Amino acid sequence: MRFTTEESSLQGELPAIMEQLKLKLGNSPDLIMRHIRIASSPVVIAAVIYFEGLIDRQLVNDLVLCSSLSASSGDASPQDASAQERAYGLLFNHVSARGEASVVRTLDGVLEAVLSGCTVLIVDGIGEAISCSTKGGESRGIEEPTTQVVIRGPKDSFNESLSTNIALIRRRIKNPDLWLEKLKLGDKTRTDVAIMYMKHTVDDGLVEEVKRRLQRANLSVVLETGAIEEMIQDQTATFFPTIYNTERPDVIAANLLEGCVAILVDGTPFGLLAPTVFAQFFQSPDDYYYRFDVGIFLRILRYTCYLISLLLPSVYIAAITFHQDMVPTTLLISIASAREGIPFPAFIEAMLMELSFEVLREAGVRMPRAMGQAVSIVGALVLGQAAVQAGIVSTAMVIVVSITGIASFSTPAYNVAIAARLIRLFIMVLAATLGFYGILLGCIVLLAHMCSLQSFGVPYMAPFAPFRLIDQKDTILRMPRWPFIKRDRKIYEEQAAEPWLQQQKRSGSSDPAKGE
Amino acid sequence: MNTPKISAGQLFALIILFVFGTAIAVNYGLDAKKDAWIAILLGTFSGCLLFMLFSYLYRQYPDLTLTCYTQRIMGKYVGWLLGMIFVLYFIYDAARDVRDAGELLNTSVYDATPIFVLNAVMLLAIAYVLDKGLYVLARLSEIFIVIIAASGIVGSILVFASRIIDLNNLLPVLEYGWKPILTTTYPSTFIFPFGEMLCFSMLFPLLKNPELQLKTGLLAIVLSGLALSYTIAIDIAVLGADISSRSIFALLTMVSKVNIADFLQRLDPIALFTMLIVDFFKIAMLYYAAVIGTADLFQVKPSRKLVVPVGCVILITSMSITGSFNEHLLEGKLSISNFQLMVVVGIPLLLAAVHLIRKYIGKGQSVDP
Repeated sequence: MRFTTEESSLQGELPAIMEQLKLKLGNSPDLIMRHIRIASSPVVIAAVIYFEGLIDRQLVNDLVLCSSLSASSGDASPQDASAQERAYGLLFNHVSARGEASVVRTLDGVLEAVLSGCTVLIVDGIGEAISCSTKGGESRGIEEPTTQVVIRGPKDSFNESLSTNIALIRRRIKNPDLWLEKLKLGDKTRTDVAIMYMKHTVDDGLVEEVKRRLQRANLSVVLETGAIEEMIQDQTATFFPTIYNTERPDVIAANLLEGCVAILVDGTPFGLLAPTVFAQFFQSPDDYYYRFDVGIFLRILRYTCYLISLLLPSVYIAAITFHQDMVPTTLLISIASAREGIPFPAFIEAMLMELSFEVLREAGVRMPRAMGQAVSIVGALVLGQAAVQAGIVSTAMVIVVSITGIASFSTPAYNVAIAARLIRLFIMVLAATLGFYGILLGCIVLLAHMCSLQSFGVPYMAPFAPFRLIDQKDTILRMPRWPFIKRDRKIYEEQAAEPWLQQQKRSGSSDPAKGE
Repeated sequence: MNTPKISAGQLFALIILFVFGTAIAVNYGLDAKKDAWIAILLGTFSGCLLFMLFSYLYRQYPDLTLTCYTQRIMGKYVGWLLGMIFVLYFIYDAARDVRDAGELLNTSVYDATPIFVLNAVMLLAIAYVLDKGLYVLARLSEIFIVIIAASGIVGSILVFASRIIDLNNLLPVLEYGWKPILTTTYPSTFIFPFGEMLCFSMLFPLLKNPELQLKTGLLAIVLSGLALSYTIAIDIAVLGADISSRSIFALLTMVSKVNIADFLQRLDPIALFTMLIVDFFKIAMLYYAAVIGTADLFQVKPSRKLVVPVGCVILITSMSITGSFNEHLLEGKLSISNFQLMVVVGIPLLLAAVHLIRKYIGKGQSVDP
């Protein structure tokens, strides 16, 4: 619902206005209207309107109290003003002394203010109302992050309140350069969205582009950052996320300092970061909190695990189906004896196991907590042991699938791990039809696809391709901190492919690349 | 089209992968018997000279591709015809390399799979990459150059570690004098693969730093020439000149001899896939040159549209080019010493000569349009 365009003013009798408001909101019982007397000698009535639950009760009570007190503290009034106007003026002074207050002149304005958690004061007979920010209500406390767990490092994570989330970031960067812009997105939901960036560090073109894309997105419903992510990403036809999301304020803070733009949305604990590169999805915040050698080891481990989760079943299928000569003889014999009596070709066997593992995993996420044990028993016994004993799958396949599954959990970012799960199925088909040749070509095409992606103009595979030596110290490696005190993401300026950036670059600095 | 330009590093990686191309797979320069490595070094040296010729032409027309400036130099009709010859050459050469890859796979692992399927799948993957644009190929090359370098280094260590190298196989140097070396170098190791680098003239206008083109190119050629020479020398040192020249793919045979503690053995599939990767890039470069050239000649605006048609032509050519692998190899030798020599050395020399003549005559007369 766009708020109705017909401008209904606040002129008129107070009861009539109230009636109109009630009508518009369908008599919702959580809309609270209180009447107070704000002047006594000629009685002036004001209405206090708010939604129960959206406001901080303490603040509103305070406000009401001070408003009624303003009546008694009335000073000598100028003759030309009516009693109502006098009372209104006093009231406004009082309210604005208590907090953020603004004037609203239309009924729609009142509605919007009330819906976003403000308290509105309407004085009888005055054509305008005072909207007073009293946002509050219940929200979840700041808890430990559930999706990006670290051993060492800050343990706070975002919650569903935008102001809390912004404060969590501000607390980490006490710098006037940290700028914040707010806008409302979604025709129906009118969700508050905040854009944060470090002025002077961030590329101005990037901020403009983020805002332009947000405005262009033309969303009607914004309940989660996912909707925004989908609308503002560079390419849609890809398995890979080109915008980073996190629920950790320290990750957002670190990336803001490197020149990224953060997008926070009211009502979700997940913030977005743009631009991002593929390597970022393999960084965990505690890489920076450990010693650098441990960090490097863990990163290499993660990349290896990603490759395993992507390729292992395919390699197994290809080796068993096409390239038996590659497998050492003793191993081949034991695999062959395990596969003896299995009715399916390796590919079908692998698909069966992979899909049942995916089912198990999905069930593990969705099922009620109390049923956990049942599912794990069924999973471990039925799918593992019983399937092998029944001669449906071989032990080697169970090992392969479980290693693949475990490896896929070691990627810090869930959305990249899920991409590997999808692509794995395609590569398995290639492996079953063309063996290693198929896997090789599949990998080349996959890499080519990834090289063609970009995130807000930054090549997705940077700094591997296009290669930048300076940035290598924080990709697969995590070099010790002392040499890279001045680390900042310059990829953005140098490698941008987007026309708006190139134009900007051309006007900004001399560009020798262009021939006459 | 607003695509990112090719950086010097990417050009470097592309050239190295291109030179390795099929040269590392087929028995390269082994006509010179145990002195093949000298023939390759000589070929590399001559390749540098040839590359300087290409660079000279490019410098005269820094914004134009080979087929475009051919028309500038030779006039509309003759130039168009020569451009057509270039394009046909690129297609033919790409088809030969596709066939190489198909035969390589067919003889080593996929004896039951039709070559047509193997070739078609390869071209399909390349077409996908080229459809995304040359910059994607360039970025890919940056990733794969690392993989190739790593597998080269690890492979060398394994070969050394398994004590199969017998340097006596390389001695005595120059047993038969210079004559077999020279006849192998000119034209064989010279044209293939350094002469084929003519196709890079089609991408030079896309370079980000044109001033680095010559330096990067020469460095890449010298490095890859040294690596090729080293590889062939090891082939010979392990297998002996006789077996190397008689085996179909000497490198594969050599690598299959690696055996460390009865555990690390049968590495030939890894060598095979290394060869396939480099071949992939070689085909892709020639394919790209053919696509851009065709687009230039026939004025097709987004050249992307030609990726699939040209790919089909390459595929069909690769199938109809020969009946058997031996015929394929023999035809390769013949075409190198006749057709290819004429196209990659003869025509560019002619172009340079005509350009110089026009420049001097043009000086006396009015300004060239």
